[in-house]
Amino acid sequence: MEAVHKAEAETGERKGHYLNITAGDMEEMYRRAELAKALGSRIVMVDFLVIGFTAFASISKWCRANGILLHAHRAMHSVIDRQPNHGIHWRVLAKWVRIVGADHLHNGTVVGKLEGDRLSTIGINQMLRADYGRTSECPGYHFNQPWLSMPGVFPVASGGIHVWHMPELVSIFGDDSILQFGGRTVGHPWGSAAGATANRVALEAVIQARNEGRDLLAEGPDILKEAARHSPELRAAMETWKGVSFDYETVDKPVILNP
Amino acid sequence: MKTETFSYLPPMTPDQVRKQIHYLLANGWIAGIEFAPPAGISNTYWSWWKLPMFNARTPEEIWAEIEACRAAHPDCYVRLTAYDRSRQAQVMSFVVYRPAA
Repeated sequence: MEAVHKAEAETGERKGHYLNITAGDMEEMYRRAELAKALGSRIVMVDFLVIGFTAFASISKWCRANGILLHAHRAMHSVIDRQPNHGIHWRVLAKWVRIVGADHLHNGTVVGKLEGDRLSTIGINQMLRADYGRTSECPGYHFNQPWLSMPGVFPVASGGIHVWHMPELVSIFGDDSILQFGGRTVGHPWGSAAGATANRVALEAVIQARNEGRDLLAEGPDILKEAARHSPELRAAMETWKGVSFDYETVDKPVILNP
Repeated sequence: MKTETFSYLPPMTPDQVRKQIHYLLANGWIAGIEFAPPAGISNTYWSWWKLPMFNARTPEEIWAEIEACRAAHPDCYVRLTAYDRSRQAQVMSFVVYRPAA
């Protein structure tokens, strides 16, 4: 937390460090939540499916009452949503998270090591944020969903993503989303700070290009190469992560039985 | 000082800022200009430069106000913000002028 406060003081920006309060029982989870709050954290994290439906609702209420943001990680979701013949589809679980109340929710990444069908991921991103979720704008959903000003959820992209993915991530996730670069930040050859700088330069260059009307999917690599000219950190990251891809068929695509 | 969006890129040229303003207007957002002295930038709220520009229709009008704010407060940071009426939130914000250190 000292590092968070130092970074905030130096930049005037709000920084977050998710303290994971997931625990085996509710009492311990409240204890960890109180500790996180006492340490001055403005956000905590839970594995919302691991802790269970009721526990998630309880910790959501605690967060609201205490002014702490809630980051929902979806560990264990594939056990529930990946089997095509039974289970609960991810798009249903994602809506449930918004109804119960969380601030961030991990969604499929499409381009990283965590998979997710592209259209379905875009549909869920839209449904998490829209005030009126129209089926035309939320692929995969079959009914319009009025949210009646219920707060939205930031979709989170995470897992195996690196700077080369940035143009596609921005085109899939858009504004009001969270892009988490873990291994590709600390794995930068010059260390974590350089890795974070590289990610941020790439993100800002892509956002600037998008706002200028450039086509991210067609011009993405060029946009990154232009940005790398003034950023040695980005240049080193692009050299390190070039060719690192997770190119395989998605397995959670819709399966239609008895067509 | 690296603070706010686009601070990790080289300073924008006036032409690049105009392109961002064009994007803001094309989305139907409302531009606003704020300023703060270096010691005050960590506050969430900066001082308004006049009122938000509800009626501005061209990048030139907004750019002229940025220039005017900068001339009046050369020792302050100046940022451009965009407000989206339908989402009722600020949806864009970046520093367009940084005072010499």
